[in-house]
Order: sequence, then C-alpha cells, then structure tokens
Amino acid sequence: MGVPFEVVFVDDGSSDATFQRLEELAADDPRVVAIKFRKNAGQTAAMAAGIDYARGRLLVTMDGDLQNDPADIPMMVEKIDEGFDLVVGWRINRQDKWLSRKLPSKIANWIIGKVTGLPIRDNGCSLKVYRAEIIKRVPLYSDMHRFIPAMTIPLGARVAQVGVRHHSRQFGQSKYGLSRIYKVVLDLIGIRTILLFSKQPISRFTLLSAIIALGAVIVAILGVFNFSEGAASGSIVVPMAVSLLLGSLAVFLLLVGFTLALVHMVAGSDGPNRSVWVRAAGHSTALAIPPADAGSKTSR
Amino acid sequence: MQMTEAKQAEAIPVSSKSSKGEGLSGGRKASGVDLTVIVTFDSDQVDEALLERYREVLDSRGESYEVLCFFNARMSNAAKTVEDVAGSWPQLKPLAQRPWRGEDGAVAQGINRAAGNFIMTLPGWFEFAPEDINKLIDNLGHSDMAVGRRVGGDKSWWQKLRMSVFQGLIRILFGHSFNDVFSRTRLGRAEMFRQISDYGVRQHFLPLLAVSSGYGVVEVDLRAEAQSGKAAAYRFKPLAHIAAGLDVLSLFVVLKFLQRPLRFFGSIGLTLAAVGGLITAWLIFARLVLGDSLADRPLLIFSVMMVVLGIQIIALGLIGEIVIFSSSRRAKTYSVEKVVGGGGRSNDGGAVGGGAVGGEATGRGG
Repeated sequence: MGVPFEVVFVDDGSSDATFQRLEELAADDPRVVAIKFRKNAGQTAAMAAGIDYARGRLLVTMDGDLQNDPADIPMMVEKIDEGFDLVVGWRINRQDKWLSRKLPSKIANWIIGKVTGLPIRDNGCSLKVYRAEIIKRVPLYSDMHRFIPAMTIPLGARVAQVGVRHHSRQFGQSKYGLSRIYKVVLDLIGIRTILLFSKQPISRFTLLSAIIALGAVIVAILGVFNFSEGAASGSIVVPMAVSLLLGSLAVFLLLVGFTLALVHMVAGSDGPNRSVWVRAAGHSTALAIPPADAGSKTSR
Repeated sequence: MQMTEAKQAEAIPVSSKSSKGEGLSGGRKASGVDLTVIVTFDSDQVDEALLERYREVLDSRGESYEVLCFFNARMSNAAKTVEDVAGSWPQLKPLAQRPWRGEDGAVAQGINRAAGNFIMTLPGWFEFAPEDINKLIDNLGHSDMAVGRRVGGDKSWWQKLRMSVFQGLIRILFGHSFNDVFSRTRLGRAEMFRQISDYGVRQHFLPLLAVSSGYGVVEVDLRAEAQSGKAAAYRFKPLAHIAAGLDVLSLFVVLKFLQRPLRFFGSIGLTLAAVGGLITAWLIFARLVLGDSLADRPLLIFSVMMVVLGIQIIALGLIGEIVIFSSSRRAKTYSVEKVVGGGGRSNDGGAVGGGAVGGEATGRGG
C-alpha cells in the first residue's frame, strides 16, 4: 500500500511461547508493538488494549488465527476513502461447519440487526477498518466487540460492508458455541436499552409504565364486573391483588426510567455519547503514524 | 538490599503467575521509601511489646521504611500508647481515625497514604512471631504478593470450623485455595495494592483480589505466637460471620458480573418472568377456554408476582448496565503486564489505569 503503518499484537494471557516470539519480532522491527496481559481478559479487552495503544489514523482489527486474509485490507481502506467511517467485512465463503457455526451465526446476525436497527451480515467477522476517532470513542467492555458497528450508531458513523475471504482455522480452538446464546440475548437487551437511551431517555420507560398501568386498571375492572361471576363471595380479592401488583410494577418502571435518565445525564458530559462526532471536510485517511507525542493525544 | 530466594521452597504459590523480582529496593523509586508498613489497632489496648518487636525486625534490615499506625481516635489509651512509642521511633506515624471505619477502612487509608514502593500489612496483636517478617520478605521472590499462613498455635473447634467453611466457599466460588483466609500479614507491591483496594472490600479479600486480577501470590508459613489481645477478646459472633459469608458471595458477583450486570440480573429475572408468564398464560387459557374461575385462585397472584418480580430484577440489571456503559471510559477491563516494541515504547508493566501510548501498563482509562 506504500503507507507507513504499525502492527499491534495483543497476547491475551497465553501460557505458550507466543509473547516470546512477539518480543523477537518487535526487536527486529520497530513497527511491531506487543502487549502482554497479566491474565486472560477476553477478546473485547484485547481489542480495547490494541485500540488504546494504536497510533494510526485508521485502525484495522483482525484475529490472530489467520482465518482473515490481510490481502483484503487495501480494498477496505479504499472503501473508507469513499467517506465511510467503519468498514465491516463479511466472510463470503466461510470455512466453518454449517449447523454448529454458520446457522447460529446467521440467526444471531439477523436478531442483532433487528434489535439494533443496523443490519450487519456478519458481526462475527473481526476484519474491520475504522477511523481512529470513531473506534476510540466506542466503549469496549465485556463482550461488546460483537456490537461495535451498533455502538457507533449514537456517534453518527457511516458504516459499509464488504465481502472478504475466509480461511479454515489453522491455529487454536474456537471458544464460541451454542452455550453463548443466552449471553448474546441478554447483551442485546442491554445494547437495545443503551441505544434507546441515547435518543429518548425517559419516554420509553414512561410508555412501558403507562401500558402496564392500563393493564392494572383493566384487570381491576374485569375483577369487579366479570371475574367474580359465579365465584364465591369475596373472590374479588384475587384480581384486585393482581391489579395492585401490576400497578406497583408500573410505578417501579417509571422510577427506573427516571433513575436511568439521571445516570445518563450525569455521565453525559463525560460519557461515551457526550457529543455527536462530526468529521471535518477533507479529512485525510492516510495511514500515517503520527509522532509519539502526537499519538498520545489520541489515546483515551 | 537484594531479595534472597533461599527459602523459596517454603512458599506455596497460590497462583503460578509472577512478575518482577527486584527486591524491596528495586522497582520504581516513587518516593525514596522502600517499604510502608500498615498496622491497625481496633481496640483500646495497644501492646507496646508488639510494636517494639516489629521495630527490632524492621531496623535490623537494610530497607528504608515507614510505619503507619492506625487506631480509633476515640480510644484514648491506644492513642497515648502509640504516640509514646512514636516519640522514640521516628519512622512511626500515628494516625487517629475519626470516625473509625474498622480495620478495612484503616488498611484502605493506609494503602492510599503509603509512600513506599512495597506495602506490608501487619496485625495489631501477636498473630505470628514478628521475627518471621524476614521470612515473608525473603519469600516474596518474583511474586507480587506474599501472604502469611499461621502454622502451629491453638485454635478452638469453632475457629477451625469457620476457617474450613470460608476456605471451601472461596475454593468453590473463585477456584483459588488459601490456607489462612483470615491472615492479616501481607507484603506486596504498592501499585498492586492500590489497584486491588479500589474495589473497597474487606481487607481479608486482598489476596483473593490479587489472584483474580492476575497477580502472583504465594503463601508463606509463619509461626503462630501465643496470641495476646485478639485471642483473649475473641468471641462467638454468628452475625458477623454470616455477614462475612455474604460478602464473599457479593464479591463473587461483583468480580464475575462487574462488566455485565444484566447477565446476572437478567438470568434470574428472565427465569422468574418466564415461569410466571407460563403459569399466567395457562390460567388465562383455563379461564377463557375451559371456563375455570380465576377469582378464587391464589395461583394467579403468585404467577403475576413472579412476572412482576422478574421484570423488576431485569430493570435493576438495566440500571447497572447503563451505569457501566456511562462509566466505561474510566473502567479497567484489562491489566497489562508488559509492552514491547514500537520504537521505544517498551515497558515492563506495573501501573494500572491511565494513558495508552507510551507503554504504560493500563486499564481502559480516561
């Protein structure tokens, strides 16, 4: 590509000779940076560390198992030059088992697209290219790496998808499986809430609260006029109790909405969504590595 | 002074991970003091002989040190004794706390105030033979923390039982095995203590937090001494033990779900709501199709209550999720041991939290 670059490797607490080899590489080539974690922290933390330490204006992320093909990078960078902020790869001929990997992945991508409103074909593909100013503002914790494209929505990022090559796994074992589905489902609920609250902090919970309060009123009316027909005297107690339970839930959710809005507002001046990112006209996408002192200004 | 490793065989590693091993005189020279010793007294009776023996051992070594001595400001006897000792021991700094927040608060305060590159916490009574401080220091080796394990000495059946229960609980929940979970004798790097004390938990859990954060911890056998003070004052306090057990469970939840509170609350809430929803659906079906009366069936209240409780628990998880998201720029999600390469960005770990470029070992800091 003929541009200056650096490669940041993250050793996520491996117990083999990985870091030793990375040290040798770094000793031979000043463009190589190797980061070793004290203990295994997971893929999201590894990506967060790599992004924190990176100094480039464009960042490319990929797994260390050679399933992605670095030859796709120039094509993805060209896409950034078209004006996109994030280019997501999707594996055209994915070299994985259909039933245990591809099918769950398709379902998960469909659900994630529906929930987040951003239909990404392959959220599991690690090969992505980002503008640094965007990815450095995306909060990365827990297993958030699956939702990076969605998390750029509040930042107003433009996202493109391109087909990329995929090779069968040569190193290590995949740690993904069906057992992670429940985690993804719960994460999605969290992501959905976060995305909702970035737009309308209180109104969603108020609406939910109003619906449940309406349900409480309906149950109470049914209890008075319908449920007790043919039942023993005094049996209105049960529907009334149900109505009260629903009413208390409505009040609780209303208060939760206020609490969440308060938290969101308090963090607003310093939180991840503190302002809408605007890209300056004529912004260069060159992969130049700025001087070390300038690089530090881009860190979080 | 250089750390000796001659007695390394006596140290039992809790975690195989370790990092630097320059000795108490090595590492970063942030202050000019090698070692900060934190001693806490939670009663009005301060044993001068104990402080004198601590002093003999510390003076006999080559390291520079300071002793932060914490006591309850409202306890006049303790204040008088510590201040008297400080008159002839310039390294001793009496620190009267008001209000007194117990040993946990004192240790946390001591870690914040420590000027040394290494921190040692010591009990305010004869938990072990003070001469064995040498053994603790010598066995730190390449580990990040050395924890004392009392050997010998008499324990009541109740003390043995509570020790076994807590050891088992910690082993089951965290997968780590400590032989003396109530030991207050620890030595480690100051930067590590600062990181793990951020959690604001009981000081008993510091070794556990260190291991869970990826630091190397070894247990060192120390001779139990005929205990004074604490042993005499020891009483059967079931509520305190129940509270400590609940603290272990809380710590487990915090460590496991800190980044994803919704996974914890959501698992419980979704299960409750789903079961409650199914029962409610069946009752409604029975009412509409089979014509059963609902008005006199308490099961309806129970099922709706399950749904309500489930939704409330999920909502609590959502609050946690938003709090974590909002503070994510300051949260630490990883701990770097070493960074190499990048044309002079080398670093061999240590500090946690802070900047990114420049090789600082860091969390995801702001």
